Amino acid sequence: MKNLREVRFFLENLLVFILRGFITLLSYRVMLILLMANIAIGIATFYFFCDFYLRVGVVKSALQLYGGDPVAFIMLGSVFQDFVNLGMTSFNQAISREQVEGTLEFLLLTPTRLFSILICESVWSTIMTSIGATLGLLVTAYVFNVNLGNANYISCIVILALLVLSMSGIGMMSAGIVMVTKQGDPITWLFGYLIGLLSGILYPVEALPPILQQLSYIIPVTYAMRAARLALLRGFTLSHPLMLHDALALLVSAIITIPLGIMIFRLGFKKARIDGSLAEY
Amino acid sequence: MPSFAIETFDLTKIFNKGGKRTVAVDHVNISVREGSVFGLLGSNGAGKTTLIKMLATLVIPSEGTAIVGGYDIVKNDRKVRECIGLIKGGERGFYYRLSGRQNLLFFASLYQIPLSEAKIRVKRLLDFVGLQEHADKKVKEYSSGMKAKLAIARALLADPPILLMDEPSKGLDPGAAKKLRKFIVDELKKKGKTILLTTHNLHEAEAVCDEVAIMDKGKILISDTLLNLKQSIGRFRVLLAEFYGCEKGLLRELSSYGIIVNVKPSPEPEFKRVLLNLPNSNVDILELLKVFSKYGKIKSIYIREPTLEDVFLKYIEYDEAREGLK
Repeated sequence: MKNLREVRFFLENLLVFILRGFITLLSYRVMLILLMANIAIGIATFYFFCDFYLRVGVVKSALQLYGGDPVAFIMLGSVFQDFVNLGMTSFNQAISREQVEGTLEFLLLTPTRLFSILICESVWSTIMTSIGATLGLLVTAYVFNVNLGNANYISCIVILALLVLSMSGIGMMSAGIVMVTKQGDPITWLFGYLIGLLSGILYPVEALPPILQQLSYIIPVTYAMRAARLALLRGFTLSHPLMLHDALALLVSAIITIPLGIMIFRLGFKKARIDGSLAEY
Repeated sequence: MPSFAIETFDLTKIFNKGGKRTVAVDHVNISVREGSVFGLLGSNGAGKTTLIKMLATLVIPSEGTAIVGGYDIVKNDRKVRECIGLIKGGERGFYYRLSGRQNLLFFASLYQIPLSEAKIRVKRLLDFVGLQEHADKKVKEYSSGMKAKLAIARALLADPPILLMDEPSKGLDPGAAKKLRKFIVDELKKKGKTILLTTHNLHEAEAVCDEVAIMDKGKILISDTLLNLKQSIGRFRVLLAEFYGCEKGLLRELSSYGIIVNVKPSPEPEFKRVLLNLPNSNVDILELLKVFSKYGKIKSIYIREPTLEDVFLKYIEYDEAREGLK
């Protein structure tokens, strides 16, 4: 009888926890919509991943440009993905972190501009990401026996720096939006999942249907993934026409997205000051 | 001409959230003299924090403006920030895994104080607020009182002339709150700082403020020096405890003086407690005592000045009564 009572209370507790989670989720409407969209994009990504790597003959020819080793392709993709996340999320994560600590308002009261503070915060994230990437490359080379003997690290670093730069424009937009929406950050979520689907991180863009392939070339990450892999797996220098093309594409994208990012960030910051919600999270 | 460190001009904040319009601060006009401690009194939700955040440039006003340290909060927000230090009560606002000293050095860097100078200044401030022994402890190990002191030290890093304190004693035990009040009066006021302090603790306001404004539903109901506010509700309040005798005759004669009289039962059944509200200084206390003697005898008498609590309750009640008439 006593056990039955305990089970009943446990089930009631379970129900209130679920209800609490549901009510909280409903209050973040933007996040709820994105959650649904991301589930769909995630499923599509895994579909294309499996579809590509199960077609043995196709894999070899599609990866010929990168030396033909699917393990090298996937491992480097996952190492480079950290730099995509770095550019895209370091600003909004810094803002969220300060909001949670309750320090954001005190930072804003100092004569140092918020933008400078965010740059300083992202340098710390860059150091951490670079350490992680170095370890990732060591594992790729020595555990998975990927040949990085011809790698041109300088070219790779330049490409990754351009990648972070072009993604940081999107990161600034995201930080501006997170100032207002607090949790549902549409830019990061949408781009994060679309990048995973379209930009050749886990499989080459050639694995996608033609219309999605065309879309993938709008995303700067596609160029960075190709150029960074070519630098490490084939030792291409920046003077190689393909590398030059990709580096220029990244530069152009940075020139477009950074001013736009600054503008959206400023608008979000102003809106939060109007709403009196700077410290909310 | 008095010199004001803070002046507001019809400062207003309206929030529009989820289609709901809330007037948090409603055409507020206050003036804070340089070097004084000004208390902003009000219940929870009165609009005190929103007002202080507007003065700190963290919230943009909907209407009106304010001059803080000689600068307009809307047009020269960066200049305003150079003149102020913000102290918020409560637990949050520091990096918990850094020590008190490390937190201050971090903020000193953002205040663009060179490291060598920052080290000296941080040490001096830690001594000043009495945290020298705990300087290298992590903030997560600090008590609420220690965090309040650290918050003051941070606000003083750039040595601003104006300190904005939003419920500085929030979460402090009575002992720590008393120490904080003493610190404000003995140290900060002595340093010539202008302090604007929000609180709903009347005792705190009475202990530290030169002037107070009572705020309710976003509006300033009254603003004046403590003395004037107290005088505005009556010079004395006389409590005559344990009166024994002819109550009717006493009440009749006292009412001819224009005095508000309240009679309450006393713990001793044969006595009554008589409470008199004396509206001005023209009433002769000795004459009143003669009236009491005429109708019976007095066991004890107690005369006290009105407190800020009397003032606060009078104005809040007055405003509520006026709202009720609308």
